[in-house]
Amino acid sequence: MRDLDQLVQAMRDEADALPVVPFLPTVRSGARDLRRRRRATGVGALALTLLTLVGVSELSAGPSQRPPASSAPTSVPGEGIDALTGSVWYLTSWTSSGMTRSPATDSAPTLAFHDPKNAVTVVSGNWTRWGVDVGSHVLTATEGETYTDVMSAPTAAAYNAFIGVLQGRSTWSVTGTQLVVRGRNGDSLMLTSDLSAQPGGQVHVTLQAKHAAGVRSAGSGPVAGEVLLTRMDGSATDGGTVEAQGITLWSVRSGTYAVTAKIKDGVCTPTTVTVVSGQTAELTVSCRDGISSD
Amino acid sequence: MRDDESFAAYVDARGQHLVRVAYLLTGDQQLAQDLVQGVLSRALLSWGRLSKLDDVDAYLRRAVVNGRTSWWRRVSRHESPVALLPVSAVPAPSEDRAALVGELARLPYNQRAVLVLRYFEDLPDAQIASILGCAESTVRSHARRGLATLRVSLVEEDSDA
Repeated sequence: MRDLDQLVQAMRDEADALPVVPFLPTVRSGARDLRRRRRATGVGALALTLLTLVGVSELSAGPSQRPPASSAPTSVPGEGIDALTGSVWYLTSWTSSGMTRSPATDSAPTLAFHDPKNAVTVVSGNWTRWGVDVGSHVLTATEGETYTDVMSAPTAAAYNAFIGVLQGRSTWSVTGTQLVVRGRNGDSLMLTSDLSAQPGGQVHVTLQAKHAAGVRSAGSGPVAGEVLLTRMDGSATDGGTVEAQGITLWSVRSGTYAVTAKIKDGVCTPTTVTVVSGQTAELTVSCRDGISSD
Repeated sequence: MRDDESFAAYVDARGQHLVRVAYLLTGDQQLAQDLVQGVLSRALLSWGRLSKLDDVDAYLRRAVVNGRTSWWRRVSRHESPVALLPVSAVPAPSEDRAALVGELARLPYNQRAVLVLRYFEDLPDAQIASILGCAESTVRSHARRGLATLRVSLVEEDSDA
């Protein structure tokens, strides 16, 4: 038996023996490359995300059949290739080495097919394009362009689950609103096209502005701004820009969140929202414009 | 201090330590440097925000640990895991050290990560659990199994025993 101190000392000696390499210039160069890539792919990423969230459903259902955010989920038309490629698939769980795990990300990881040759997976803003060949119950996928940021542990877990199962040849089956993809290594992904089956719900936000005097004037009402949803333990959860139309939508895990918002030249009243699984919480944040937020 | 100067000061002070942690996690000096450079390059783009965190060190350590996980899944699709740490780039270690570190490299990743974070980084189990996204009891279990595999005697009382 060795002593624990020996292990600690061995790790320290091994790490200390590494030569010191001044890598700040490489870091700066890497950051410049990343910035260029983000600019180059920013529009593409936005389009991919939007397409993933709404586009495929819209194409599948047709504009006149597109459901409102709070309505029943899109049903899968059949169990063939069209059923696979015609829906946005939300990851509900996966198996890895015989263990079943569920995504703990704040928004549901998604798989969507642009067409039978191209797909995209999105996990908390990290996305991967896939070149795919969809056959009858066989899926061949090749990882293409990716965009990744610093990942939390839940994000990395879901991201790796997609990569581990999809890369290469896998088998798939659609039953109703459920999709199962099985990789060659025996791991599998369980996904659903049924939004109501998600462990979390959605938040529908409107920023409502009034003049500082408290009298709403003609033309006032929904305004653009920034909104942040924060868990009650203080950890930031999700946020983003609310468009001037006054509406945005986030998928978040069930629970109660503190909501703060900012608008230009104004202040907003902090509030809370409770998200229930499978439901859409409607939230109006009251703001007062014409006064400084500082 | 400007963001750029602040970032350079951070890298100067802590960059090499992150490489050491990444090296113990990956078992490869070059990959460790690549991993840390990637994490720091992304951090530089958000440094104005990150530098305001109470513990930016913890944030970037977490990024290295999780970044290593992503890297491992990618590499493992194409290569077999190394049986021993490649030591050609570092001075020849003593026999005992080589044996211990070699055994560490053969551990399952979560067990190795727990041992590195617990004994090299001196982090409490609660923080390790947060980094790895698991329960504290799982951290204790990984530590116990990892140490048992290394045949290291437990000199401390394991609260989970």
